Amino acid sequence: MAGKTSNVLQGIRYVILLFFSIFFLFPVYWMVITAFKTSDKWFTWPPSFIPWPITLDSFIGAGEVYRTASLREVVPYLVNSLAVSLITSALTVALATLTAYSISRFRTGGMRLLSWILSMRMLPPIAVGVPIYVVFHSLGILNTWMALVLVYTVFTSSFGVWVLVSFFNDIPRELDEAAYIDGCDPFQAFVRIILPISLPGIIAIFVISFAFSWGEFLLALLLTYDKYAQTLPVFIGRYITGFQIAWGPIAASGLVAMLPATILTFLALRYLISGLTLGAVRG
Amino acid sequence: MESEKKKNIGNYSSSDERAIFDKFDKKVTRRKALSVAAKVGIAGAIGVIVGVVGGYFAGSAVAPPKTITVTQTQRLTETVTSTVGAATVTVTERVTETRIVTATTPITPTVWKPKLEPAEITVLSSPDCADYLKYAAEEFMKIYPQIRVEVVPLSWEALYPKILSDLQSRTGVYDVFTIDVMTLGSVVEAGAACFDDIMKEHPDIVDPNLDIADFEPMYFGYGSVWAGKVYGFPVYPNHMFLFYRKDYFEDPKIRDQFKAKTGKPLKVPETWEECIEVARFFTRDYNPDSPTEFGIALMFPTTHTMMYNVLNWLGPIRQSPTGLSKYGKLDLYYGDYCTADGKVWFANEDGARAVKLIQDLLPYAPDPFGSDYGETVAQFSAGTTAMCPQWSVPYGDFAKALAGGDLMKAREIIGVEMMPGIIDQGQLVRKPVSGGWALGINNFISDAEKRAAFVFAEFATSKEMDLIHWTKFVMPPARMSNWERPEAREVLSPALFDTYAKSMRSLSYRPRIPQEPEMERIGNPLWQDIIAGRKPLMDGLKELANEWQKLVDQFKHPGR
Amino acid sequence: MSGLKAKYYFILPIIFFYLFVTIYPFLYMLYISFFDYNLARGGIQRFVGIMNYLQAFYDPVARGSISFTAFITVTGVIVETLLALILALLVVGIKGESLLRLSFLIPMTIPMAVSGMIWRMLYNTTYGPVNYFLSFFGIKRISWMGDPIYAPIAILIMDIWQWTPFLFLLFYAGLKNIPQVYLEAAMIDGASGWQLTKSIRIPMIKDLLMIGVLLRSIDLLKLFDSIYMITGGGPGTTTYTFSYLIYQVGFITGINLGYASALSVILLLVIILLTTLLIRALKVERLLGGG
Repeated sequence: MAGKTSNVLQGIRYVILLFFSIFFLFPVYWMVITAFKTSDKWFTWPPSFIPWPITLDSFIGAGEVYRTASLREVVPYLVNSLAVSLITSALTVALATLTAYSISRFRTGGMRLLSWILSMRMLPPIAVGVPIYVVFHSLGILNTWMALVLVYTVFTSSFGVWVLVSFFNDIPRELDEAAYIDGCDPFQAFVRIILPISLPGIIAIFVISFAFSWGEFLLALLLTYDKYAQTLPVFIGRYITGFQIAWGPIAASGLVAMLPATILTFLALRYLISGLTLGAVRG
Repeated sequence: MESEKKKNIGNYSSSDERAIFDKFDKKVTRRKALSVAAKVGIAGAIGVIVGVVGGYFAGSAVAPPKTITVTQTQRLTETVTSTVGAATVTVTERVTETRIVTATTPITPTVWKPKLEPAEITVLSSPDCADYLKYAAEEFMKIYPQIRVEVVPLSWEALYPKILSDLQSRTGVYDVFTIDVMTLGSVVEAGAACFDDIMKEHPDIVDPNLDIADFEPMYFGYGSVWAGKVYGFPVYPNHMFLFYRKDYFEDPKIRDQFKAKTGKPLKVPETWEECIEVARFFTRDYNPDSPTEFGIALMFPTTHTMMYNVLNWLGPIRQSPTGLSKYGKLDLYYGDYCTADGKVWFANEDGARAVKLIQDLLPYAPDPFGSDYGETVAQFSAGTTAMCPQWSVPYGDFAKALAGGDLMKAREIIGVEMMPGIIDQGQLVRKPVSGGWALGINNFISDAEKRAAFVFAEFATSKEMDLIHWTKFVMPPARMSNWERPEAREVLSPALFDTYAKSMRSLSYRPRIPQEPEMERIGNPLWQDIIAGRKPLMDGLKELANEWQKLVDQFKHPGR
Repeated sequence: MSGLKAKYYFILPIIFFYLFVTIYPFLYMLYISFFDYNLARGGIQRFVGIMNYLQAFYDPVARGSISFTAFITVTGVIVETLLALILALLVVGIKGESLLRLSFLIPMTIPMAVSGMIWRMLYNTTYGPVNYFLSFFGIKRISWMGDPIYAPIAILIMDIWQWTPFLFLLFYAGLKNIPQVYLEAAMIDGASGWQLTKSIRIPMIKDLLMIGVLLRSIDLLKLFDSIYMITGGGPGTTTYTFSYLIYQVGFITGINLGYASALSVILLLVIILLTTLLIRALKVERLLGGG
């Protein structure tokens, strides 16, 4: 804050910020150390806050007599999550850019269309789940990547359109007109001029779609059931069955599940901040 | 030659086991004395055998040499790489070791092997059977390489509706699935394959060693037979036990303390009233000298667990002499929650008594309403409680946590006793709740898949594998013949083995009618409300009994 | 491609997409909601009219889930919005801003299944750190997942942890995008820090605040993931949200698709109502008019 602020106020400010910093970070810290703890340290009172001795057993699976789930099993689910997220994000970018361009430049469909598209993001997944399960079942695409991609893209592209329309709105029409004068048709103008400029927005959409697909749980739970297509969140959820609480491997899987989305988001943070004004902050 | 494959013996120090393994030990020392050339010779012989086996697998109809079936139960631990001179065959064989002892009396290898077309079968498995079924699948695929078996573990909540919807929709995604005993009715109704029909239609896939009569009859009748027909083979019969800290119960200092505090000798509780007293003693809040923080690890969450756990208290009352005279004989379709003619009986002072016994025990458990199976196992494993009512499988977790995996040491620390009960008319009535799984088959799959599925089901429940799922995976044997084996008793925990044999015929049962899942949906939360005192006791019991009665009335009993 | 036709071609993919994935299933679901369609009992179909809808009003579990959903939505939105706003305001311009903002953003990037799992570990009654920290204040162990008073709070705290970062990002981005000229002009006029905040910062992101509130409201109404992972709806049915109820009814014990469909329709109507409000608040027409 500009202006004169007393040291006490500044101190309080730091304390508050530090407190919440710890609040937000501690659970992550807990997960990380649990992944590296030996199994005798999982259930102690007081809880052990330093993982010593450190072990990689939770990651590579200790060769014990009675098997517990090991991280090796994660791989197919990891692959599924990656594939579904990437495909969804790519498809979303394609759909959203096309649609947003049309709406931004030509006001296609007016309020009706735009509202309908935006409302898609608000769908409760469970409400969609019941009929989609039955429909996909009869189409035979249950437990496939396609099933998830199809459903996820509905949500992500809706949000994508929203962000991109306001983004495109900020691109001056003169650019389009210059392209027309040069003999381009709208599609060429779109590809050659608009897309390159909107790269930040596109990156933001891609990252958000990726994060959404990566972490989506309910629909994956309903529509997939084995390692052929099931994604990481559901795999992790399976540990929480009340049957086994092998916290080490659970935390290890959680760590693996968390990293891609987190890293990606942080890399793209810049774009998110500039792209996510949603047209709501006007200069 | 095949029986001389080197074995890696575990660290068993009991004299009985030493004697058993001395036989093999001698063979090992003899082996060590062999020269390199002899080793190569042995390797060469193995190479030849592998070559023959390989030739068989290539599709010829040659009768298999006995070596194939022996690999089911024994494992090599040596790495052999050599070139056999004459045939110029390079053999590299590396097999992993097992630390678990297998049967000493050589089990007659099954020479029988039916002709199966290549197929892919998916096995839907509950979490507790999954490890074993994966192992069984691997072994099965070695014998039948043309069959691919994929085991999919699913949590109980996810598994049950998945099977039902798969059967209902006739999509045939899952070929084999584990059937939880009390879901038999709904699974049959949804379309589980009738084994009698399969065996009639395909007599060539009926194993001559199948020996259905060998399955424990009570369990078989409850978990696999519906309206007189067979729908599954038992893979994991089980019921609940009371595990306790033997080292504490036998510690003289602790025994003295107990005597001083209560005037009675410390013994493993046989009734729930006794259990309350003992649990109180082992809870630090009530006894600062207690070695454990809490007396007993209880689980009353609003999940599937509630439905079966309550029976440990209700069952003894229902099947006591007084109970039997009031409510009639136990009907295996209706289970212990109902009278002989299907009336829900517990909305009275008998039911209230059971609830009160539970409520009196609650203060001595760490977190009864927030703990499920996994939490209570963790609580006992971490030494937080002195007792733990549980199924058999956690014994492995207990041994690992409390004895570092040393099974001999574990016997001194972990005691096993029958679940407590009540005393009625001078008799001690103990009725641990029963459970377990059978392997069932989807009726709506192709013939090739059905045949493969059936052979797999036979394999996984065969006498040899039945013993293995006990010795390796703590899933008790389903076959009476294995209960006779001395090594089955010795290998893991004689206490567990003996207690199981003792309680095998004295159990309580859940209803297995198709309405059971809806009974759970209503009952699980309601039971917790009643036990936690959120609902007045009699009102709660009456409400639950009413709701359940509506569901039970929908059931058409096959016997009437 | 003429300009006129082009615009329609552009939107065709998405319309087709939405029709296939949403409209058709909706109609089917609406249809089923009037039948007694239960997979566990052989999928018998019997026309029952509005019985499924009436059951939603009579069923105490359904009513309970409505009140819990309302509780979590209202409380969650209020706390999250206020907290995010305060944090965003405090962070802007401070030393170490980029580091601090990173730490505030982490929870939002973690899939809810993972966070649910983490919090389940933290909330463990016997061995969890939360109870450990509480013991410093002399508070005896709380059964977070077994006590009907604390289970809802557990869900609330976890949601605050997970989603305040998202709102923080929103508000923070908004604050950062306020043109410096306004602030400088006011500072020259001698405005204090608090006055700057009150008169410029907050009003300028007013729209974002409104959007944040509505977005979180709609998302909280749909809450499912954390319930599944942490409490399983328990103890009893105290933490059943509406979505979780539908899941239980339609997919778990019972597989009563008719009832589940009716419940879904109800949920949809409520959300559509709120979405309409949201769209008005977004001033969506501005998206069309501006440019």
